[in-house]
Formats: sequence, structure tokens, C-alpha cells
Amino acid sequence: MKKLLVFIHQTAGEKGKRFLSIIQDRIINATIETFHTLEAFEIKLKQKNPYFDQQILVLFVDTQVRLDQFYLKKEIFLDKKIVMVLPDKTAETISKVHRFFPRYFTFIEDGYEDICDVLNKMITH
Amino acid sequence: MPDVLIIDDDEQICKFLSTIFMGMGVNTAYQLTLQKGLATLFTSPVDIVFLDVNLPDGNGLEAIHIIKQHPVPPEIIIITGDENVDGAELAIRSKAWDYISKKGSYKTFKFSLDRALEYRRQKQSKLPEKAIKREAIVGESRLLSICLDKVSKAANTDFPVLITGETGTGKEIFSRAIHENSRRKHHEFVVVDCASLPEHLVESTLFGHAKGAFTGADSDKTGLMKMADKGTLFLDEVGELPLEVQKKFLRALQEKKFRPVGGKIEVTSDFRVICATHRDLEEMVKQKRFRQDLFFRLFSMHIHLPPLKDREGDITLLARHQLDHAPDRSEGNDCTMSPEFLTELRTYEWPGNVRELVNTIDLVCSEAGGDTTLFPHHLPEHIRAFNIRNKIKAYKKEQPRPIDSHKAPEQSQGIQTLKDHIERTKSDYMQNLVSITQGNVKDACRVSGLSRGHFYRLLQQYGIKPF
Repeated sequence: MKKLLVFIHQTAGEKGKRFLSIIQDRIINATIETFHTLEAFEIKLKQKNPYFDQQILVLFVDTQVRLDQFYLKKEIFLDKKIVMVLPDKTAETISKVHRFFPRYFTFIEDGYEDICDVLNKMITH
Repeated sequence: MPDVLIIDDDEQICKFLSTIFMGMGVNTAYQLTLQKGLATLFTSPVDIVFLDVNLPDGNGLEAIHIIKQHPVPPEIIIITGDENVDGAELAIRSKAWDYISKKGSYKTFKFSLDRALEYRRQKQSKLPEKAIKREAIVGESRLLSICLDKVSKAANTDFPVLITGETGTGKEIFSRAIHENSRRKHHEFVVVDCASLPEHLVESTLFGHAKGAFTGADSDKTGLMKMADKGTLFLDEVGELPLEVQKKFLRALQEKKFRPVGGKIEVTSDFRVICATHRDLEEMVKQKRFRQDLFFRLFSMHIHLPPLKDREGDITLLARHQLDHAPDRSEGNDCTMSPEFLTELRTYEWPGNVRELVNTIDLVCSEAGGDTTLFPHHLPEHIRAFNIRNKIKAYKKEQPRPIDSHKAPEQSQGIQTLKDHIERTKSDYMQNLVSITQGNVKDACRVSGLSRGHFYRLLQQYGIKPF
């Protein structure tokens, strides 16, 4: 079974809670594991398992600062299947996001219907 | 040896010219239709094409611009049985090398081919060789070198590239290598994962949409094609692109402009496209699940990545490289691979290819803890089990069947009873199992699927002493 590793920083507040609640409601046929600190997330990503193709990373990027934090750690995301929710549509954000080679990305202001559809397709593919 | 392709529906002409050209030491092939000719041309590049004008499925003159889109386009010599001034002018304006009549002497063909080959030799000797940056691509096998040469060529052009290969062979890494070595490297490398996009999202994700274009389109959205402006658009699993979107995408690819969903103004974007797929696109074209015109467009350059098991020598290099870079080994914690460990790696078939090998080495490192030498027992069980099964099969093929004491004497005189046959097979199996697993009961039970008790009972039954 596919596994979603969802990162929502502990300071993301109501926005983060709402996103997690939607993901938990809408995603089927996958287990969901959530992480609220980058340290815990990094430890998880460094753990190796034989089912390397089964993980999908969902990064809820609530601020530009968070994106920069991810960027500094970008080697841990290499060759992983990543889906991202971004804080804004500025050129700076868009430029940085492509460095993660995400399978899909959307924006906090756009809602989460599309990302759930994408995740469900990735899970069943 | 140079290669020539003749595209003409008159087989006699094809055979006649083939004989003449082969006599000149030139590899010559022919096709009787335009479609087959183009397919051959884009699958195995040639130096010179002799192209008839009136073909059953199209006009040769109109195909010149398609052929010219090839990353290393051949010289085109138009041949016709029906000379026509306009046609000749069109051919020359389209940068054909020559326009000759089929009614002419065979010497005309020889002369034209000779001159075209001379020109080609001079042109090719001027092409610069460029070393490429290939940090993420490890290996020295012949098959990998061929792929890297193609990466280098692709990086020097702006033509679409199609990368095929099994899952885990590194299609995306090769795509990034092309981008990183191209003039577009300072701009974005934008990934479109066609397999992950639900059908209703493909168009708006690629082309973008205008506010109000459909329910839920609350604001304008920039598509990934626009985001790839001046950079590279990487379409992963391009075979999954819906047919309706393929048409619109082809137009955008040709004209570098498109209209976002619900938009009134056309948007321009100067992107270079690289596609990847593990599917057989040619077969999909035949089944009408992929557009032929888009296929030809994308097939301008083709790189097929070999499965890891075919890349002789690279398994060891990749394992060593990954071991040196494994996160758990990064603090001067040296680790070596025993010869038996390497043999196990080389024996396994790696269905998940490079990705599986890399992940296995990471896994082994993390399991090995403080061990400084890796042995086969560090490997995941499924790999060892696979290898042992193969060894048993190979061993059984090589070994002559032993004559066992418990067998009935009539066996040697002809067909044996079923019961005897089963007993003999069981006995052989047990002997081989013990031999291959070197008497390791745990391994023997795992490989055979026998419980420990059953295993010992069978040993006793057939009088086998394992240790």
C-alpha cells in the first residue's frame, strides 16, 4: 500500500489543520503519516526501506521561510515523488519550487480539490 | 561506412540504385512508402536520403521539412520520373541537396551521391566534441557511453528528445543532464508528470487557464508550458497524455504559442521539450492511442536507456559510488564490499534497475551498522533468495543425475513408475538444496519453503548428511 508522508509545520496553524483534515477525508487506499518538524521529517526520509517506490511526500509549505528551509535540505528530497502546496505565486517561489522537481504543485489560496485528485491518481497508478 | 536510404514506391528502381550504391561501398536500404521511410529515418539515422516525389501515401517534396527537423538531418536528393520546374525549385528552396531525374544515367546518381557524401564528411569533421557534466550518471559500460554520446548531441541542439527505458533506468536524470548541459541551463527544468495528472487537470496544468474558464477557476493560472519559457519542459510518461491534449500540445510545440483554457489571448513560450516513457509509443501509434504526427515530432532524437543488468561492469561502479555517498557512511566510516557480496549484486537481475540498486545499497549501509565489510548476508532476503533459486536451477542443469541407492533396478531399463520418479526428483532436489546452501538450514528452509522439521525428515528419508 502506498504511504503519504505529509509535512505540515507545527506553526502552520488553522491552514495546516484544514489541509490535513481534507487530506485525511479525501485520500483513499493509502496510509498517512504526518510530521510537524523538519528534524523529524528528515530522520524519516533518511530511514531506508525496501519499498522505496511506495512513498509520496506531501509538503505543505506555509511560508517562504519554510520553502527556504526545504531548499537548504533539498538533497533529502532527491528522486522522491513530491507534491507541494505553496504559499504564494511569486516568481521567486515558482523558481524555487522547480528545483524540487515536484510531480505536482498547487497554492494555498487555490484550495485542495485538485491536489487530492492528483494524489488519489498517484496512489492508484 | 555511410548509410543511404531510398524512399521510392518503384521497387525496381530501389533495387537498381541499391546495387549501384552498394558497389560504391555504401550501406543502402529502401522503403516503398513515405510513412515507412520516415519511420526508418527517425529510428536509425542515415547520411543521404533519395526521396521520390510521388509516393502512394504522400508527396516527397512536402516531407522535406519533416526530415530537416531531424537533429542530424541527412542530405536529401529528390528523384522524380516527372520533372517539373516548380517542383525542382521547391526542392532546392527547401534545401534539398539535388533534384535528379530517374530517366538520367546511373552515373548521375553516382555523381550526386559522391558529392553529397563528400560534403557530409566535411561538415561532420567540423562538429565540435563536447564533454558533458554527468554528476548523477555513474558507469563506464559501452551501452551507457552510447547514451551519454546522445545526451551530448541532444544538449547541443534544441530538438525534442524522447527517452525510453524500463522503470528505474534514470530517464529523468538523463533529461536533467541534457538540460544542465544545454544553453537553457540557467532557466527552469519543469516537470510534467502525465501519469499523475487526472484527465480533467491535464489541459489547465499544461496550458494554464483564465479566471472563470470553468467551475473552480477563481483566478488566472499560469501553465507549466509558460513556466518553462527559455528552459526545458520535461513530460514524464508522455504516453499517458490524453489524445485531445496531444493535438493542442503538438501545435504549441510547433508554434511555441498557445491559448490557456478559456483565455482570449495567445501566450508565447520558448521551451525545449524532453519526453520520457516506459511504453512502446510506436505500438500506441498503431493502436491509435498516440498521435502519429506528435510521435514523429518527439522522435527527433531518441535515447533508449538499457536495463541495469545489461550494463556490464556498471553494477560494481554504481554500488561503490553509492556506498561512498550513503548518508550513514558520510563521517569517514569506511566500508568495503566483499567479493561474495559483489558476486551477489552482479547475479541479481535488478528489475527496479539503478533506483533499486541505489536503494538497496542505502538499505544495506543502514542495516550494516558498524560492520566495515559487506557480506551477502547484509543483502535483503528477497535478493539472496532470488540468487539462490537461480543458482539451484543452474546447478541442476549442469549436474548429471546421481544414481541413488534407494532406486529400483528397473529404472535403468526404461520408464520408471510415477512414484519412483517423484521420489528421485525429491532426492535430487534435497541434495542440490543442501549443496547450494552449503548446509545452512535457515537458508535452505527459506529457499525451499520447507519447515525446519520437514527439512530434517526429508534428509533422513533420503539418507542425506548435510554437514
